[in-house]
Amino acid sequence: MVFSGFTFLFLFLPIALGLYFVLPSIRLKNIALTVLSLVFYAWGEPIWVALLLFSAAVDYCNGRVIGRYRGKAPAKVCMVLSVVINLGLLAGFKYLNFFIGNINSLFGLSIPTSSLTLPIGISFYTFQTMSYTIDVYRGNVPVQRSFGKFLLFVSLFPQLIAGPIVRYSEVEPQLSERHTTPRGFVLGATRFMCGLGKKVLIANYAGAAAVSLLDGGITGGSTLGSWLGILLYAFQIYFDFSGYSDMAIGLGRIFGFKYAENFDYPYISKSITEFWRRWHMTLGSFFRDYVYIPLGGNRKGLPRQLLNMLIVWSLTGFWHGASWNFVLWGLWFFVFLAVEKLIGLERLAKIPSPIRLIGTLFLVLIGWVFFYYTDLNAGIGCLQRMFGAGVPFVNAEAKLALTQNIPLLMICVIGSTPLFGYFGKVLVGMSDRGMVHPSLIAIPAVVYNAAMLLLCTISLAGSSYNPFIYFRF
Amino acid sequence: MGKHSYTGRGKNGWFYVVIAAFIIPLVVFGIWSLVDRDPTGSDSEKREFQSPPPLSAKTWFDGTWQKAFDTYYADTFPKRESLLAKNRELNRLYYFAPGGSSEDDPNNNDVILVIPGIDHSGDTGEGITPPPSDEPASAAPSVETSVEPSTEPSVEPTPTPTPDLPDLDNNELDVKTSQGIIIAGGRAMEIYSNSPSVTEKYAAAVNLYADTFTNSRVINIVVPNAGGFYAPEEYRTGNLDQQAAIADMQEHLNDNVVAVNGYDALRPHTDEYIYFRSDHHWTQLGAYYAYRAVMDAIGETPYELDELEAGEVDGDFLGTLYNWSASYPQSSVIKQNPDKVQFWRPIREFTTRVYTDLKMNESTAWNGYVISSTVKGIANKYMAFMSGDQPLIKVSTDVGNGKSVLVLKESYGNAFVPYLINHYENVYVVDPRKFNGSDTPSGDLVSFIEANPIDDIIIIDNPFPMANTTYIKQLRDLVE
Repeated sequence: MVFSGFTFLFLFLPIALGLYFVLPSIRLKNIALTVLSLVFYAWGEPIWVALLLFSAAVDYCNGRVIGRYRGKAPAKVCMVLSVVINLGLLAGFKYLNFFIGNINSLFGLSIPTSSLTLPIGISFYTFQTMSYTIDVYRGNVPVQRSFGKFLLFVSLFPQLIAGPIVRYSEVEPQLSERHTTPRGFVLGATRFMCGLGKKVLIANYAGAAAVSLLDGGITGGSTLGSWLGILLYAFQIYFDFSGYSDMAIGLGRIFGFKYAENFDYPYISKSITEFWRRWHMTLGSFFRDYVYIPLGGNRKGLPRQLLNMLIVWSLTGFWHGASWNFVLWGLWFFVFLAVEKLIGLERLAKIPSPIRLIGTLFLVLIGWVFFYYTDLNAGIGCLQRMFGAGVPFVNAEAKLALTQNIPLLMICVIGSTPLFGYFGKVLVGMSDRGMVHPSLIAIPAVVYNAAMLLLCTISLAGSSYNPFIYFRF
Repeated sequence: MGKHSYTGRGKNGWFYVVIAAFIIPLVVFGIWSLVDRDPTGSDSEKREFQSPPPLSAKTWFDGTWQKAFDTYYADTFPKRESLLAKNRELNRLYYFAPGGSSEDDPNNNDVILVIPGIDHSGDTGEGITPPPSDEPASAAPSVETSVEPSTEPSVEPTPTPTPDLPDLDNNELDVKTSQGIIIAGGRAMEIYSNSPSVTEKYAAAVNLYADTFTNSRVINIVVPNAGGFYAPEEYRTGNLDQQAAIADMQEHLNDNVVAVNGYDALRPHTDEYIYFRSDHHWTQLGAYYAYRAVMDAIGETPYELDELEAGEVDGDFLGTLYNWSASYPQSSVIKQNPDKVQFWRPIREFTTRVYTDLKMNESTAWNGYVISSTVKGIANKYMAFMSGDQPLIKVSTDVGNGKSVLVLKESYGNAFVPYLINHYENVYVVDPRKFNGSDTPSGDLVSFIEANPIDDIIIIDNPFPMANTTYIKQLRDLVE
């Protein structure tokens, strides 16, 4: 089920809210949330819900064994087992055909490919369960003795299918005890509506406009049109994914969970290093804590650090999809992260910030070309168009696309800056400190939420273009 | 503010106001959506809604029930039609046109809208179903005076606008779909993009007909669509140039094919009403000029228009391209100036029989029409011609010259065939899309022509089938 659909908004969500807040005890609330989450998942993956249960069961058991045999061999075995099983699931469901395809083309074989489809959200929940077991092994978190609570952690529908990647340590206390304050509900609901608006009112439209330009357009493309296309795609992917995270965080908040932030205005970054501190933050910290640091991080000298970065960024790219273009996308960032590391951020800071901002955006946009085109040749074709090879600088189609999308682009640019977020924070701060009459905060919130719901409903009614980009990752 | 601080229960009260305002609309619309009476279809979208299949273990576990439920629930959401109308208003922001003059000036050439195109690869054509009152087995073909179908023509649902590529045979990745619809100069047009490697195959298929049916004369005419003439220059040059695409394809036709250039035939008449502004078809006037060109090419004398009986289908016509672009504000220019369907009836007496296969099985045959002036539904008016798209139609005339023609066509041919009725004793019309598929009967033109000798075989198409490997295969499958 997707958040941005009528079934979720007008059936699932009111039922979930009603059930959750009517039930008296945390135990019943937890059971309700788990059942709802499994229905939510089974709506899109009626078979592979079994895989989710399997992954949860494996790591629940591993956790228990590690707890019992702490410091002994079985603990280590179970930790390794968790990694092997979870990565095995990913390999089998997500990467198998990629490997077969590459082996076939490398050795001229014709091993048949698997017909298994990628289960929704597998990249997210395998990481979550695996990180739990590793954390238990490291002694960072206590063992969860209740399978019900552990399953709730894994399956909780707000974050189940497209992140953020929630660490067990963040939610562990909330599995047993949590409260939804009226303030928390209001913040969560408003955050949800904000995310819904980002997805439905911005990302969907930016995506539709981007596709027609990036695929060469009707007339074969132009330099301006290609840049405009990749810019719109950059906005699509940001508003889509960060909107999804907003919805997840908001819904979590309504049900009393506090999830980590996932985005922090990445397009205002002034270096690639900064960009990755602001983009998909829960994935970055996952790779930092479970790959980069265990490999030695920066503690074993510069060459080893660069190697570690190379590994991390290849994996980051590969995580996004079983295709070489995603690896290339990761490596593209590795190159500039390494350059920034070698030059030193302090020295780079001497460059005027507008130039750093534009330079960073330029590199990020080129990166999105690799990300968009799974076919490498098509990607190179787009880059050629972006740099003027064989196409006019501007044509009627590009001019049209530019004028047609002026209001959308303005919304995207403003929405990419912290302006609205800052405004919201100020309002919440004033409310918290009791500086203004509460109606001055409440009435704008009511109007904002109602307007978002109305506009999104209108847009969804008229649109069948509604795919979540991150679903298949 | 002074020292006064707003805290405590008063503040929580206001929080509850926000919470209530968040939940109530969801609950109210949720309950409303469950208790209201669901419509069965949408007039504005020209489609019936599909009810979800019964919920069972099978439909749940293969996910079909959930998908169908989502679609049905969204289709029948309360007040959906008003929401769609509001969506159009909202789209003004997203498909921004400076000056906003599209509504005021239908001839404003600056108003161009590009939206993702229609996929023709799965296009099986539209056809009416036989009237139930017809007793097919016993009914002898009756003389057509002004026979109208006794039931309202029901059409297959229009494809829903989806950006996804169709599920096709994997070998057919070179299937050409329309590159987009543009609205310019007060008309909506599809943009054709050429694919020489495919059109060469089209020419080879036509050659196959000429080589197979050596006793018949094979005539081919590919006519441009409106975009070939009226699109802004950039959208009809280079790879989008239909004149060049047609000429290029004809280079590959053998000498035993009578090649008629549809572009040249229509070019001198572009200031006449030869294409609909709201539909992807041509008008019957456009088809007339193609007919003249074909007659000239085979040495026959075409009838003048004023020798034929002219008429007009009742009501306005807003066709497929309008329907596809209706949610975009730029399409209002088309709605304000709807099309009319003019027609010219044959002057000969004739009967029309529609068959579901090439064996001309009488038990499933029924009496169709060549031209109907009373097609219901604003979006369906092109159905006025040839009973829509049917597998095989036989028109028997009183021409009395013993000559027979076989027309292989997609829907463009429907407006063209009525003119032939004045020239041939037997007119057979075959739609290749209706045969040899997974759910269509097998068709074999070789045995058909053995049983029904044919003098002229006319293959008439618009540019899209010419570049569509599925259609080309369907053409070949009829003789191979």
